Amino acid sequence: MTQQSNQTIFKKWLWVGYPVVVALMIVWTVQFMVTGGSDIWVNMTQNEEETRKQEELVAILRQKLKILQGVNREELESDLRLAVEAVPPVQKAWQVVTQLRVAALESGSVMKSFKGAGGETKEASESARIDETKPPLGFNAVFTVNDLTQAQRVINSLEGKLPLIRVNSIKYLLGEMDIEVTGTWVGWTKLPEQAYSLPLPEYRIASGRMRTLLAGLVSVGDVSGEFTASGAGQMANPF
Amino acid sequence: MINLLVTEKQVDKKLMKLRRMVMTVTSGILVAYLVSVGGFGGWTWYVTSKQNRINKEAEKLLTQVKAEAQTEALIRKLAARAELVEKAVRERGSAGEAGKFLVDTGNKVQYWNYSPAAQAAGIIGESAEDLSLQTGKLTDKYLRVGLKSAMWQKDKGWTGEINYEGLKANDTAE
Repeated sequence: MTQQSNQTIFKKWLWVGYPVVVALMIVWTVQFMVTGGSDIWVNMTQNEEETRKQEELVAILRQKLKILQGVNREELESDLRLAVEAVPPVQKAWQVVTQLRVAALESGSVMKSFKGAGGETKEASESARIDETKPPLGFNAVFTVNDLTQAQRVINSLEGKLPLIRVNSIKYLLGEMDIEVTGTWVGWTKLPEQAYSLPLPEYRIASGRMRTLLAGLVSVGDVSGEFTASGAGQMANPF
Repeated sequence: MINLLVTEKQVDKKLMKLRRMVMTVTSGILVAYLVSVGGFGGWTWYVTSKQNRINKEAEKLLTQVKAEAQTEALIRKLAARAELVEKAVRERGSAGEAGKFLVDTGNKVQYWNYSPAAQAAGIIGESAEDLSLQTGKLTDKYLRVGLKSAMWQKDKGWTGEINYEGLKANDTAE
């Protein structure tokens, strides 16, 4: 009789198990997803962040590839040659001497003397870098000129050649000009780490501006060659 | 005599009502839960498949970009060096232009000292007014022009020393 009564009570209250089971199931699965060993929620949010980063990378790479595949390599190489000629990656101190001699020849003046003036005299290959913090070798040259107009022709010749020359000072006094110049040079900079995942720098505008700035400037190599070939002057070794 | 049967029936009725309500609410919660789990599953599938697709695409593009590494290095070198060239040209000034301007003024120049920051010129004049006139010609191009000294000697006549610096806004090169 008691057993039958217990069965009746059990059947009567069986339905209570349904919300209990549902509640337990919800609590368990939420706990499993959020704090459980699977870390599904954390992983999913992280994945979404990674996906966003990858999407950005894909956009960069697509744009890069489009530029890289459409670029004219010959033009690039020619522009880089010009840039390197204007600002060499190594100090070319002795080329400055050639430029001074060419200036004298072109202006019809006479270079009386020149001397190296302070700074780092050492020239180096591209791999054997020298200390760029030291100032480059400067040159003092003395020209005998007829007047200021001829002195100006010397300066124009110096400033009209590649590699670029910086005129630091001029002392002109009736028929004589003492000029101090330095040749420009800057070593190669290292390419950035993981450069492939970075966007390409804007090179077309910079390159165009460079070409405009250097338009009309002549390579000193071409000039010295012309002078030797035409016999208009002798480019003897100054040393 | 108390009718206990009626009371028991009333209790059973209330219990049935409670049971129905609990079952309905639980079922509602269960349905909402199942829909959420389904949604989460779908979202998981979507995110994972999207990630896989993007990873594959990134990998493919990286391979293609790496194949063009030489061209990329060329572009990076050119961009950096073109900027260096521009900086070198901008910073070196223009001694030639400064000299040309001085020549073009027609001033009778005895000496000329130039540095990118400042210049000085010694001039010869026929009179104090002439020295002043020659000094004035430089004010067309330079911001600060001053006749530092003027001197008269019987055998040499009038000589003056002009100091000048700073290009005017429309003249950018010096």
